[in-house]
Amino acid sequence: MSTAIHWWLQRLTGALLLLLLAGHFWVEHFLTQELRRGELSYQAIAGRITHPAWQAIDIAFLIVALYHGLAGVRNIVLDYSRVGPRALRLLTWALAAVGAMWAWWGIEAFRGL
Amino acid sequence: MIPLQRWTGIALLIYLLLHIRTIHTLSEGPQAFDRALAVFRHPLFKLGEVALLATVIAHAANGLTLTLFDLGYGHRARRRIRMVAAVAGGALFLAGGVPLFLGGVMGR
Repeated sequence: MSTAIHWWLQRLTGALLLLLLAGHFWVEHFLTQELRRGELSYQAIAGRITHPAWQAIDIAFLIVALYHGLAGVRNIVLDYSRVGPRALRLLTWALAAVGAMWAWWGIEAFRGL
Repeated sequence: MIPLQRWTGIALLIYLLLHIRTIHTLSEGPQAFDRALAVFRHPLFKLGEVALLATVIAHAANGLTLTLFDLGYGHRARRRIRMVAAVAGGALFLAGGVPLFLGGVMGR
């Protein structure tokens, strides 16, 4: 992919994260008195996380956040050092593998709910 | 400020990866999830949450201004735009951080 597409994807996912994170902080930390005291528990969030629509939002959130963070690492490496095409391909695959592993762990959390 | 964006970004990515591992305990059932969450009830972690909020807001506000400048907007008012971003970010941090601190650290 060209660098321009990467640039735009990073901004697009950044904008999405702005909305998703604002919502995430709100529903996990501010919505109820219990949450404002930081008393997070399965009980406190069960209604939300067992709902398919919320699961879809959370999984989309997970993937967008992982993409943004790992693509950010790739940008930092590219900015700081001269990387040859082979090393860059290796780095991209390594980051993609980390992303896939963590995306799987995140999605697996919903299994059995 | 590109260095700020990099350091906050790396910190947030590390947090994200640890956070997903904690959430993953849900797959072992509600008890395992609650056991994992219990660790984070300590006031030090609640303070960490306030720091997390600050890091997120700094990264977002700085990212927005950097994008604006990258797109070629606002170059004549760089200082003022940075100031607005800092003030708005600071206000948002207080609005979110004060309740988090009072609720989580002070137990109110």
